[in-house]
Amino acid sequence: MEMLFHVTLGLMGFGVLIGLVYFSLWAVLHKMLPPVLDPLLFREPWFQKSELVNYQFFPLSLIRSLNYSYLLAWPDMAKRRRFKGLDRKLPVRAGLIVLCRIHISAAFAGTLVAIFYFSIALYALFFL
Amino acid sequence: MSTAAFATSYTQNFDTLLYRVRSGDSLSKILYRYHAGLNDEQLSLLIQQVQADNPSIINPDLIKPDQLIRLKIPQQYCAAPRPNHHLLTVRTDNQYWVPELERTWNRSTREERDLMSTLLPALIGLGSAKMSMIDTTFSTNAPLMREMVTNHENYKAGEKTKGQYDYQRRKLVAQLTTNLGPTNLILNGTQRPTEVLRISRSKGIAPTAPIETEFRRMQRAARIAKSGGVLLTGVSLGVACHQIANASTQRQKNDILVESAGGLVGGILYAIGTSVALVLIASPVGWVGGLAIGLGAAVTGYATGQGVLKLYDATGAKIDFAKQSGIGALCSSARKAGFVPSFSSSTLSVL
Repeated sequence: MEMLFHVTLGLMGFGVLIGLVYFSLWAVLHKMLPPVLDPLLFREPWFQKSELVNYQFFPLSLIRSLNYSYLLAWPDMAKRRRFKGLDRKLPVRAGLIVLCRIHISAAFAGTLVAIFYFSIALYALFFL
Repeated sequence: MSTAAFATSYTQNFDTLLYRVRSGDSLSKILYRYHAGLNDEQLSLLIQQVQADNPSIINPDLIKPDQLIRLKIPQQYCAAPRPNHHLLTVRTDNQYWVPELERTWNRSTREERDLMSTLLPALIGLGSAKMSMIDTTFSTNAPLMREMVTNHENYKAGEKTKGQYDYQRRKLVAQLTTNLGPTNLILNGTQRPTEVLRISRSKGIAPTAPIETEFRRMQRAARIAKSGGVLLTGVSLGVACHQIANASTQRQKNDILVESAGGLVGGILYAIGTSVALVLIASPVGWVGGLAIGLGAAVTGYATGQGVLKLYDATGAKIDFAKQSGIGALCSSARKAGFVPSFSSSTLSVL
């Protein structure tokens, strides 16, 4: 049991670290990406009508910048759903693309940690 | 409209306005502002009427700043309805919910009280996020009301036709209605923005006064929401620290700390996981969806906090986190210094 608790503590520490990286980068990218990409991408068909209204204001506007980050980090995957058919080159510096890759990688890593962490917490909640 | 018909309409359907002359005003300029599309004959008729109503004006080309003029203005719009303010004011007429809440708290089981105390910081956090959202929505949309005033002034100055004015006004009201969304309920109750933002034809009031009043009210509401958000965030942190400072044994302090930390990490990881799901699914999220995600984070945080606490207890609670991290001492000293308020159970129930 002690071993499981120590694993949980490790996951918690890792989760906080990932959270710090993820949310800090999100804040930075939220400031930097929309001014460059909004004129090109924030319109139909990439976003639905309701999204064009809702995503103008904080906190839902964060979802708009998250989608931009995903598109810059993994364009092939992003073009499979939301940005289907987008073929123009985006005017974004290489440094920003690296930040987007770290951001989205942190998101996927955080999701993995979340799966393990929630599994342990739910096991403890219902079976201990 | 013929000059005779215009004269009849002017003498029968009008409101009286006491106008204070501003620097740069001329009588014709003032009259154009309130009577769009005047021809020379109608203008001269109106100037004669103004002179008749204001014996102090001997020469119509000589009016001075700050001079008061009695003007007759067309009665073409209905008066603005009384704004619905009750949702933004503190209710003092019936306080029945306080004793009722107290009775409910007293009837609750020990488990229900524990659940309430644990969920409280999360609920306050949600309230704080909601207040910030209202603040941003109101602050961002208040300038649209200013555009309505400008639109009306342009129309009265003859720079826009009635059709252009009506089209622009409808467009602005529709945009404001869409942008406000459910937050309109907080500002205006069940009244639609188009009902609230009427042009006034009441005597002695500028036609756009109701819009200016609504603009100021919206800005005031945004300021209240902003202060409320900051206050709730402070209360949320205070409640968690208060629980640690008030715990009677070191074991209890550790339990609260482990549970809070477990819940906090659960909330963070839930937020990350949800954002990944949103991007992968590419599903649109509205305000209700946003609040549902927030509520999900609170519930997940609570459940994971409880789970981690059980695991900690199952290991025999050997590690003294409160002492090693210094949080126990920090909250105790903050309480002694008066930074952490002392809540009674009834205060918590009212909160």
